[in-house]
Amino acid sequence: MNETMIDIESLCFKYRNEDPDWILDHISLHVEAGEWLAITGHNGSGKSTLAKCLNGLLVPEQGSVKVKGFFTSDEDSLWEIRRSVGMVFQNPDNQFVGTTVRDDVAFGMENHGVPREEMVQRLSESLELVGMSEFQGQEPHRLSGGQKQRVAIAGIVALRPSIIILDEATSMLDPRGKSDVLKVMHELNKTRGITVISITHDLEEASSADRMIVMDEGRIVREGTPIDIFKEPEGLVEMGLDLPFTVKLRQLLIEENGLNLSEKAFTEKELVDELWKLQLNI
Amino acid sequence: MEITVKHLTHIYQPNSPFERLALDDINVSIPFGKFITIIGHTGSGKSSFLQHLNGLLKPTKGEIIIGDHKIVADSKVKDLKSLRQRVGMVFQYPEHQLFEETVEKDIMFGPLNFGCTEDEARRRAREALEWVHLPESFLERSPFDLSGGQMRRVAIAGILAIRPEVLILDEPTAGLDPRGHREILDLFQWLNKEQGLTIIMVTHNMNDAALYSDEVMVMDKGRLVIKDRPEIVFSQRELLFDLGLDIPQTMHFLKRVSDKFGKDIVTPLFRLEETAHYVAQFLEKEKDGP
Repeated sequence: MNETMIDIESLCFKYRNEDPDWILDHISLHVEAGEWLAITGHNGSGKSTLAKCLNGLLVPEQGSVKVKGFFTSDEDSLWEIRRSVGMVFQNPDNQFVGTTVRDDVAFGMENHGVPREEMVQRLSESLELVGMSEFQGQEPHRLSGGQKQRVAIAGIVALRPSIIILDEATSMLDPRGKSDVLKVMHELNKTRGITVISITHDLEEASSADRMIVMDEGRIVREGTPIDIFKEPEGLVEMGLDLPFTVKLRQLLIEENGLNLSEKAFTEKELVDELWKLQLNI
Repeated sequence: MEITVKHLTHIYQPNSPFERLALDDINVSIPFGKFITIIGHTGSGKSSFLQHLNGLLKPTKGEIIIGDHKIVADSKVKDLKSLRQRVGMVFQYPEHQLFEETVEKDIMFGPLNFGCTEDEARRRAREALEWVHLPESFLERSPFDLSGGQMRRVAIAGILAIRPEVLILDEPTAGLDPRGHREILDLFQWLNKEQGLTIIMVTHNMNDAALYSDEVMVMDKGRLVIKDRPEIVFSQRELLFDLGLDIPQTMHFLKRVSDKFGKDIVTPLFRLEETAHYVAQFLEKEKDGP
């Protein structure tokens, strides 16, 4: 069995004591090293609050959150936890401090007291990994949205985190920026074994996860592989979500157009292959 | 109220080391009552263009004619207030600009600023709230106790209460969940079709641009590359890819089908139902043999 990265036991949280309902209501969740987990749910379902619990920005009212064995409620562990868990936020413009790309990536390392020589080496390595080496001397605000997000990821990677949380990190990007950022993250997940937790409304993005959870009213209401979750689409739309393109199209092909397709095809390619076979067999 | 833009050029910080050409000789005309979307990668000039349409930015060269308003370089815009009443602008994350104690007061702020009486502003607040499909009971609530999607609707209602003829939207769906996303776009469609508002919307979402607009403007490096009906714009696959853009999902799929079956034509369809129907018929034809 893989190492446990995150272990949440019956986590409850609310922002104000007088609020009648929990924002997070008895959440239990296990995340293993190297996993790509997608968390989805409508606005206000508790996704972002959950993310903030994962690096100790918020601490549980009841229950516990453990990151690599450290409790987030233990203040002495917070430094270690925050070094292990990097977060990339939605708005690329709100996360820059340096005047150049290089300064910005170095900022986190300086904060963590990484020795200079080590820092220089990690700096070029992380910029290389996100494909931004040639932009070292540039001012961050001159970059495109996707490039900014990749610089933000480089800053995190330089700290050698075990987990990266993407909090709607691609939702403000143009199509290319979005696919570049996801490509970099999949690469880091595969080659470096970095655990990825991606909070997203984008069902296509969620579809590429190893596992996904669906949140509603502060609870985890569905959990499984994307294929399993979308096999039973009932209820997802009512929860304010959507279905991936191929799932919707397949339903229409079967129900409205009488095609004899299986429910197995999940990617566009698989669906086209099935259409091809269907045509050959007849 | 037609919008005509002639030779619009904008240079940020001219004659300084930071000089940057944001808009480069844009010529376009937008007839009244159209739904226009603008696509282009980050930094292509979309937002700079929008900001010229209600006088937030002034051209370095060229002119913008909106109804009887004319915005030209080197001279003050006349009747700026009346221009801004007629051209309503909804910025990104407009909910960040909510500030009043109640939803009603927040929506009334605009009309009062433009000289409405209290009674009239109150009446408009009710109407605008209805337009954005929120119940009347919300009037007394604090805008800060609402969900993200609801707050965004209240912010949009605040602009609608000013009764603009043109509504300018900068990525109005960013951060909304799929339902909120669809509902807000349906609202814009309704405002366009039923209330006759001209809509000009910047979006990164190719599906939305294809589905909702009469015409799509494609921008790159401060220039207007094409402006045409979605079927024509999204048939130019290679060009869009070169500009860092994309085609709608339906067309990605149709391209795959067409490649698999050795055809080289991709019919521009954007609605799922049409796409499914087309694919079923296509298979039928293939079965009968060439």
